[in-house]
Amino acid sequence: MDCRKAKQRLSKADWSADRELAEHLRVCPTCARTAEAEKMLETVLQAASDETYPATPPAILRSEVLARAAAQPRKENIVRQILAQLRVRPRLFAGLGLAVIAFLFATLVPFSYTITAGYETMIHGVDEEHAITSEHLAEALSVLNYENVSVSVSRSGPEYDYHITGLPSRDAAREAGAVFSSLTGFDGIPECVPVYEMVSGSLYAQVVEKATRIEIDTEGKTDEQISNEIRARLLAQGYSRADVSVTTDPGGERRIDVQVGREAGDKETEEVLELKLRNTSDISFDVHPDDSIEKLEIDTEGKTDEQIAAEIEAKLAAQGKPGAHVTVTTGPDGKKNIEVTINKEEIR
Amino acid sequence: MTMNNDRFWDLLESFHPKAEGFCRKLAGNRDDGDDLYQDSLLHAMHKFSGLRDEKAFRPWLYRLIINRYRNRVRKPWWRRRETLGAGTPEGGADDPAGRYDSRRWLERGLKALSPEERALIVLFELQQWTVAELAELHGRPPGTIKARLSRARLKMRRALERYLVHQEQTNLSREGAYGLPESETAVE
Repeated sequence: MDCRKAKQRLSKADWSADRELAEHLRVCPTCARTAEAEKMLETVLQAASDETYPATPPAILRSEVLARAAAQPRKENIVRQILAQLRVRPRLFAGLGLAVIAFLFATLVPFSYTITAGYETMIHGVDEEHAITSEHLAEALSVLNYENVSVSVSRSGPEYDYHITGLPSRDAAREAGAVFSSLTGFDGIPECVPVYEMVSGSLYAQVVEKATRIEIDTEGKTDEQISNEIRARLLAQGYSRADVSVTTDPGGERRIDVQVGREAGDKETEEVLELKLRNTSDISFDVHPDDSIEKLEIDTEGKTDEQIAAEIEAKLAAQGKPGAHVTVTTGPDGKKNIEVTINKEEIR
Repeated sequence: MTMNNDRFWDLLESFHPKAEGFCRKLAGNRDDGDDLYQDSLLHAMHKFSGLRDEKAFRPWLYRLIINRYRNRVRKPWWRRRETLGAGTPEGGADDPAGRYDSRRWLERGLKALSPEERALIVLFELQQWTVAELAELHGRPPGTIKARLSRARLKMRRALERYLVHQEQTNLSREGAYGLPESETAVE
C-alpha cells in the first residue's frame, strides 16, 4: 500500500480495523503520525462532545443580560449616532456645517481679482541729444539678463518717450531706468509702474498668490546683516518701503519687526508676509558700510572689451552708481585691465 | 417591548443550555463564551422585533451568535480583547481525566479554522447537529456543508500533525541537551 492510499483510508470512519493499513502504518512514520493525529482528533472531539457544564439558570441569565443592557447604552449605527448628536447639540452641527460651507466657498468658488503681472518703466521728455535707439537699449538690458523686455520709443514733438515693458519686478524696472540714464546721461526721473492683470481664482488661491515669502539663512550673520537682507528682499519683491529691525536679547532670542508699504501710486492690496529664518545662531559682527560697492560678477567668455565695460557700467548703474566710467583693455599676455571711475557727486 | 422580551426569553428557554454550551465551545473557554452569549442575546433582543417567523428563532439566534463571534475575531488588533491564557480552566487543578490536556489539543486544532469553519465543527462534532440542520442554518445545500466539514476536519488534523512533529523535535533536542530520556525530562 502506498501513502496516498493510506491517507485515503485514514479519512474513513472505521480505519482502525483495516489490517493492510495497520501494516503500512507500522513501516511508514509519516502516515503513522497522520494516523496518530487523526486518532487524537477523534479522541478530543469525543471528549469535548461528552463534556457538559451546568447552564446558567434562565432567570439569572435574563437579569444579567438586562443589567448589561442597562449599563451599556445601545450601540446605534453611525447615521443614528449623528442624528442623536444633532438633536443634543444643534449649535455644534450648525457651526460644523458653516465651517464646511466656508471651506468649500474659499476653495471652490472663483472670484475675479487683480495680480501684479509685472512692471514697466516710462521715461518721458528725452531730448534729441540723449536719445538712443530702442534696439540699443534692449541690447543693454539683455546684458542684465532682461531678455523678454520690449522697448518702444514714441516721439512727441521734439522729445522722445521710452516705454520698457515686461520687467519682472519693481527693482528690475528701476534698474532699467538706471541703465537708460547710464547709457544716455539723461537726468530725468524714470517712472516705474506696476502692470495689473485681472485673473479668476478661489479665495484660497488669491491669498496664496498675494503671500510674500522670504527665506533667509541667518548662519553667522549679525542682526544688521539679517535686517539688510530682509529689507533688500522686500524691496526686490516690489515694496517701496521696508522698515526692518532685528534685535537679539541677552537670552539669544531674536526679535524681528517688519513694516512694509507700497508706493502711493500703487494699488492698495492686502499683504501677507511670511518670514522664514534658518540657522539662528548668534555670532559677533562687523558693521557693513552702507556705501560700499557690492561684488560684481561678470562672465567675460566670448565678449569684447567694450561689451564687458558696458556690462560693468550697467551693473554699477543698477547699484545706484550711474556715473561710473569703465575702461577695459587686454594686455599682450591676455590679462584684462579694468579701470573704474565713479563720480561721487553723481552717487549722491 | 416587555411583551416582546417575554416572548424572546420563552423561545430561548427550550435550547438555552445548548446555545450557551455552543458559545463556550466556540470561544474556547467559559468566560469568553458567556460574554459572547450575553452579548449575542443583548443584540438579539434589540433585533427580535424584526424576526418574522418565530419558528426560525433557533437558526436565527445561532446565525447571530456566529456573526458576533466572527466580528470579535476579525476586529482590528487595537480593539480585540485578548484573553490571558485560556480563560477559566474548567475543572482547574482537579483534572483527573486529563480534560485540560484534551481541551488544549482541541483548541490547537480549532485555531487552524476560520470562524465559520469553527462554528461548523462545534455544531456538528460537539453538539451533534445533523448536516440537514447545518444546511438550513447556513442556507446551503447539504453537499456543500459536507465538503466544508471534511475540509475543516482535514485542517484540524494537519494542525495536530504539525504539533506532533514539533513535540517530537522538542523532545529530541531535550534528550540531546541533557542526555535524558523523555519520561525523565517530563517528570522534571
